[in-house]
Amino acid sequence: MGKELDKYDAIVLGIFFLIALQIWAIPSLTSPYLFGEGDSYWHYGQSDYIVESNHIDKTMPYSYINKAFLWNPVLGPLAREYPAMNHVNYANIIFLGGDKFVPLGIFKAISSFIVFLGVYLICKYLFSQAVAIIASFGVLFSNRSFSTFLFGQQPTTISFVFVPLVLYCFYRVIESVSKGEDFRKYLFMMFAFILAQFLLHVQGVFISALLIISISILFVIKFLINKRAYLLKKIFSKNKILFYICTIFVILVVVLPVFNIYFGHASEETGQVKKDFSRIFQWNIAPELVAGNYSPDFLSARSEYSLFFIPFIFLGVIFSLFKLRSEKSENYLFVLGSLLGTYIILHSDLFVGNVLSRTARMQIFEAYILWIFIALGIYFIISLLISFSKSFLEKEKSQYVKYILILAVLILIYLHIGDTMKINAENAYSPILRVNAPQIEASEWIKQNIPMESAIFTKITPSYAIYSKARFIRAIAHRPIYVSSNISFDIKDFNKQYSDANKKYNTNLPLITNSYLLLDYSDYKVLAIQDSSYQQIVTSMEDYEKHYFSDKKLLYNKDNIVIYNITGMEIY
Amino acid sequence: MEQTKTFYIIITSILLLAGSFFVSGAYGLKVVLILASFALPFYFIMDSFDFNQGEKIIFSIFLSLAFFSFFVYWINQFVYSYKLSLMFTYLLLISAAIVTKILHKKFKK
Repeated sequence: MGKELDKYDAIVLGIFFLIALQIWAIPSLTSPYLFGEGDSYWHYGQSDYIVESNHIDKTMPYSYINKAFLWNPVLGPLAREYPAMNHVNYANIIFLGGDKFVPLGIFKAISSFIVFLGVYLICKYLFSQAVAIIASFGVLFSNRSFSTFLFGQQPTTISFVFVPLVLYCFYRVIESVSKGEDFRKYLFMMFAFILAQFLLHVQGVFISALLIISISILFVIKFLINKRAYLLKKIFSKNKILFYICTIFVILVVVLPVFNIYFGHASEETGQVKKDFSRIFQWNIAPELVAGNYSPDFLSARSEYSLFFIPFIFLGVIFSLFKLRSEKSENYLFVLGSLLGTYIILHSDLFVGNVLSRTARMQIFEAYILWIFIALGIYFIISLLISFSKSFLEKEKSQYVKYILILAVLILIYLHIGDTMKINAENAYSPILRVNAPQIEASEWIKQNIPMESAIFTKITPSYAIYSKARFIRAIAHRPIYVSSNISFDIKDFNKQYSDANKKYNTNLPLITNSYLLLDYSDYKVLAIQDSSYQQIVTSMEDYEKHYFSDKKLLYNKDNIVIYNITGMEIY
Repeated sequence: MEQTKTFYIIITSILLLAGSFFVSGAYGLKVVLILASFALPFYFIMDSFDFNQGEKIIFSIFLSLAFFSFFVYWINQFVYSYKLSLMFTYLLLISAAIVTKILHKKFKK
């Protein structure tokens, strides 16, 4: 029987929560504006639209027409990319939080680092409080989770954070089965968490399923070797049929209505990617294989765990292998099964044909498993030191030594990876990389004054920020935005696509009747104050504006942002 | 015993809320309160089942992350107003907790 959480655990978890909140909330508190890459605005826009329109559509807002027009040929135009639950979560925070951006940033942070609760629960139950403290503190500073949160791809992470809880429930099922106890309660909870993953992001289900399969294989082998195969029959005994029928019914009720959102999606154009089977002998994905999608820093084990803690992973694995002959052998077999599953998932591009860039993103969850091994490795060293100290210290005093050593380990974790994360949080998304007040005001003006069936072009901001800022304007204004450096746009083509889709899917998509141009000098003018070379860009944009619009009426002109109606104009 | 447990939960919650305000300001406190209030009905539902205290708290927080919005979404397909759906979801979950408690007591007897 493992150990349950008590009041001391509550104190530890409360302290960890506050430490994590203080660091993870920095990017949201240093500036009141939303941050992130394109995905951040993509998710924000869909959530804000729910609050603005006071309704949750089954489809995406019309403003995504040029981006998500026919991703899902089964469900038709503007079908959602994921079930709406993430966006409803965001909408709840936007609506109840009292501000459009800051509470949302804090929510995204909490729901990314909250995984430490699950890691603590499973480690305390399987091993000890010391292992739980070390492992859960380590996952708080995962560089991969933090980067994903900063970029705005948090809907993936929120699905992964359920993994430790799925594992915990699965362990409780195995334990109950091997003891001949009732396991239905935990099996139901396991399915509930997997369903939650399905509703938030399907990649989490993939991870949970592969982990469960890997662990199950090891346990079936163990039961067969120990001649305890009869235990497996208990899982499918007759008196549990009603439970299984009810569980399957619940699963179908949750899954079927949103099934086609994932599985009606057009398959990704991956091209003929040659599989590199030499990766079988490597744990990590080489940065050059996913260059452009992920930075080497994201993939590096050194950034995730620091060089100091990597040897403890090996120590933890060796320690677990030795413990397979101990009383708690099932606990160690369970975590070794998770390690095997992690290996299979991180090589799923080779084994099950997963897209390599998706496999790379799944490395986020790797920390949840490897920190358990780091903690086991460290705990092994601490146990050695304690047994050594017992030769000259009283039992009670050696307990104090243990807690002092654990505290020292936590300080080392903070110094090696926590402090780096804090620096990254403080430097993340400087004002020029975030939307600014004039851009928000212009977006609000667009929302109030420009009809929905419009195409809005932007010629704005430095190239490294143009896509995310254009997406932001789409997210606030809820109007389609087209980024273009060479405007030679044929509205007829778009309208033909939309009217064809209307006929095929019996929909009523509005056709584009107007087009507008937004010229934004606000970022360049700020940059020109610091670096005069930017003044040239401002001047060339002003020349461009004079060339085409000297005799045109300005629709909007405020804080270095101007908007023109360009319907029917031939401009480049 | 039960009173001591409740006392610890209340004290820990107050400290956690005060700490959240201290490290992340009023917005941080608000978000923690929102998340706690969404998790609360799930906690009451779980309370009727034979889970330990730690499991009940952690499970309810995680369940609320997906299933609160799940109910908001589906209620909204009938009610249309998102804000009303939010309110109805809360009422529905609280009612579910009360019904579960009553049924649990009845069957326990």
